[in-house]
Amino acid sequence: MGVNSGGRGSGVGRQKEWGVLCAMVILCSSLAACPSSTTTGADYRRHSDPLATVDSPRVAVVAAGEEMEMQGYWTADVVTGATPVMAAPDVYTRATEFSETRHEVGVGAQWQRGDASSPSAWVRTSRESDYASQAASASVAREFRERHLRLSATKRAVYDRVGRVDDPGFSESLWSSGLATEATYAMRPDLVGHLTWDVQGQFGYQHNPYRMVPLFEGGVPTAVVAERHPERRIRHAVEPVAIWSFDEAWFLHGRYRFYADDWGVRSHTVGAELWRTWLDDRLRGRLRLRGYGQQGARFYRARYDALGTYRSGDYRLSTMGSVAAGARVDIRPSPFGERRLRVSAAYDVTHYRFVDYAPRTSMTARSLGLSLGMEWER
Amino acid sequence: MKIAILVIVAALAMVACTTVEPWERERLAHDCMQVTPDAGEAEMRAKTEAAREGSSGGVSRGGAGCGCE
Repeated sequence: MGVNSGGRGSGVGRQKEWGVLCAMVILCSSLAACPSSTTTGADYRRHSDPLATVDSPRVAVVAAGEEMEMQGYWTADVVTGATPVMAAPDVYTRATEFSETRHEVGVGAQWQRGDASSPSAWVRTSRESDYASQAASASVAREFRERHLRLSATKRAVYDRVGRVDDPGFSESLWSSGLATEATYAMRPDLVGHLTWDVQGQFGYQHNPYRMVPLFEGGVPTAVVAERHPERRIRHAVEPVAIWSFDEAWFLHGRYRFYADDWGVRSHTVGAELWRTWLDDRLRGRLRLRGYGQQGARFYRARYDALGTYRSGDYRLSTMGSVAAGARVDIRPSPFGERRLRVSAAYDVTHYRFVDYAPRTSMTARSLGLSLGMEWER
Repeated sequence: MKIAILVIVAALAMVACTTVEPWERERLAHDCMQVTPDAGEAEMRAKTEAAREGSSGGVSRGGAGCGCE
């Protein structure tokens, strides 16, 4: 959750590691049983902004057979930063250093059936000192109109346990459930259209157990109270995407996303990616632009003058926007034997603007991504 | 009204489509013609966006990894 994590004091911290073990067993058995080709990849991403630095390694394996594909991954987030402390009304004047690590393991399988349908399933488990999450999803995809149209539906369910590192007795739960439906259409030999509709519901504890909100009287902070959010949130998102290849070496992705939820948050996101290949696709480059604008939640205030039902100190529920730009380079050397190698590096800069968030009006984040992948046939 | 406009736009888009023969699909099969050319990168980026914006993500991805303020 982003605070000091001096130990595993909470009930969540003592959870059994059965999920991780099951995942590893399934992954190992799949690797031994079915593959005709195997792809392994290692990624590293560093996100750094004034709030925190997050280092995220990730290792993934894909073992593909003729009718079945198994995937597995492990990732971690090593978070370091400083969180403002609101133990007194003169808030935002102190900060406490924190360091925390989250581990996540996931395995999934996809089947390719002769009737052009492909069911798949995933399970994931994530844990850290004060938060544990178990997720499962199942999806089915099917092709229509001589493989011009592909429809898919994915059902997801997540169960989270929220703890506090300084209170072993504290334990709250959060259920999430979602359904995503997608349609992909090959409109022309050089044009693909894609549409996603995503609806999600979250039920349970959705506050930050550490975050306090100041109350003001006559312009002066007089008290701090615990953050309180509604325990139900229904979220909708629609995202059309167009992918156009206007040359054998040039590819352009354009996307727009509209989001709305019953907390009053509305957002618009526009994005574009331009890919270029050189040297018979052994070298690729990408430029990326993204713009984001968000209307804050109904109950969010930059300053609370009265103790209402809900209050939040979360800038993610404020009115805000961001602009991001980045570049990426992929190198794919010629195959040696049955093995193919891929190396890539990406760098992104994001500038955030906050309209009604008292502690800051803007910040800039930088992200570095490095990736190494190898594929080989058996 | 908005739904009607969406339906009309979708219908016009379908009319504008052509039949793509199997021998014309080479470019469609290229990585860069996929909605997410690099799923691993997309997932890691989505995690960051969900930690810094209020409308990304949705279904929980665990508590930290966010450096939430």
